Amino acid sequence: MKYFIILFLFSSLTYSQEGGDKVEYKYKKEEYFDFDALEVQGQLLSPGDLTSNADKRVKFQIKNFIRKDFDDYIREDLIDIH
Amino acid sequence: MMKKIFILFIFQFFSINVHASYNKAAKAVSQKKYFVASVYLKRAIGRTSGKKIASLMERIVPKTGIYAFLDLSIKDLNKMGSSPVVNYVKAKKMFFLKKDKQAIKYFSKVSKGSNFYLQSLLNLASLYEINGKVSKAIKLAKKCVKLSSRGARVSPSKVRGVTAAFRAYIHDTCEILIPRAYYKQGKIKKSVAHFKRIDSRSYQFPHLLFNSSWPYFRLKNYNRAVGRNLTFQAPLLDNYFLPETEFVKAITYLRLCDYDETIKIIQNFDKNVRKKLQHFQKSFDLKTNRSFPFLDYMKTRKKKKKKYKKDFISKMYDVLAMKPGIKILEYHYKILKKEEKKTKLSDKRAFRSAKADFVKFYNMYIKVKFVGFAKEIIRVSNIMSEMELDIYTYLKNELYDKKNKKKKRRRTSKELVYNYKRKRSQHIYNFEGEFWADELGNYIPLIESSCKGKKAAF
Repeated sequence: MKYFIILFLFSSLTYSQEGGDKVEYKYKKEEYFDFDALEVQGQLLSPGDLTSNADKRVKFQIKNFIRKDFDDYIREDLIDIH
Repeated sequence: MMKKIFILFIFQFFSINVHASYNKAAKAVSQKKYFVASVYLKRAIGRTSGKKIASLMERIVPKTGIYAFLDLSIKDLNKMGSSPVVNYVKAKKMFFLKKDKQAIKYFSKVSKGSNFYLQSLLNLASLYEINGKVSKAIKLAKKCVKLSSRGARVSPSKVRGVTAAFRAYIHDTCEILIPRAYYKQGKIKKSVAHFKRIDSRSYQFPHLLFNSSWPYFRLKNYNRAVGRNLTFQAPLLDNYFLPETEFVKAITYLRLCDYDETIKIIQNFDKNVRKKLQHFQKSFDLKTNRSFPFLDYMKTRKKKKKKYKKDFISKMYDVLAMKPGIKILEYHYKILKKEEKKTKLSDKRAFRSAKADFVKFYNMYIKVKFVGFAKEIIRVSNIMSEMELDIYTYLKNELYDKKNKKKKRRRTSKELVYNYKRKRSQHIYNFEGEFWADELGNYIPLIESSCKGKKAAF
């Protein structure tokens, strides 16, 4: 039995070697990928917008910087009066 | 018996010595050595009658200024009794300590006939305005304007080149206080009307230009708001630089959606002012509490004027040098120098003490001004940086906004800001290398709104 198994393995090896011709690999010059055709099972067919959500803009409000009075200038003037 | 004589002798000895300082002060005044007198007089407080001290102080302060007595505590000042000059010194001390209510109390006590009454009126009006009693402030300011126009007395009095200028400065400061007070009350149109009344020859003309740009902005008269601040580019006002003028220009253009111009102003401010600030702070040791010898520096600068470039430090110095406050300090300094020559050896120590007090006040006064200026630059710069960042964010969002992708914003040359009206006969003058002095402050640039069809984003 042992001899039969060894013989079988040896013969299968020799067969594969005999059957294989010199393989020439040829690569394609162009390759086309159809991404539109890629479908994923589910409700969404394609990924959504890949950009991150824009952060909520911290708005510069002019009204926060409108002068309410001139107290600092008035105080400054008094420093000049000795 | 011997004991009684001994006790009487001790009593007599100390009572003579008690009046020694006062007597020395009185003698120094008679010899016109006022700074020396001020030192002896301070030593006499609590030992001599307050009335006598106050009376002598009335003669000393017009020559030395109030600086000699500002280091006294209120307790000591109270020992002097009530007199116009004592009340004025107390009030001024309270003002510098930011104790406004007490300052108001003492300013109110300065009597009408005194040389310090006019400046007390100005101080009172200003402090009432700052502390919310605006109607009262306006009333007092109008009284101040009236009295100063009629040639009311001020201290120092009868000094050529100083008294008249100081009186005029008080007049102009009282005058500009009125529209500022109306602005605080929210009476914007009234504020504008009062700003318009002020003469362009006023000491407060540069501040008038800038201050009035705010009510114009609030009234949406953007042309005038910008025009007022553009006047600082005129040769006559070349020395003046108020950081907030750039801010007002920037927000005006921002309101009109002219983002390019806004960013140009911000970047120009950053390049020509903000970046030079560190050098300015380092040059004058502004970040520390250490005293800087400004008196010597100002003297050196005066002699070597041509050596210094016309940067904003030069401008700040030049503007400061023109103020009556500095002129009065210089007047007292001249008296100090004259007195130094005729001071005897016995009075040298007292004189040195008086001189040290004066120099300390001078240096502190200039430092306070410069520190204030530096802080103002930082404040304005920080706000403008925030503004610039937000403009870029807004513009970026506008670019990526799908709705506005294809539409191009068009500027129409014919669209003007709505409340600007020009008659057909009036020309738009381009002021290439020229300006009309009598038109100063009335220049109105032709500004177009770029916000066509859209509400201003800021």
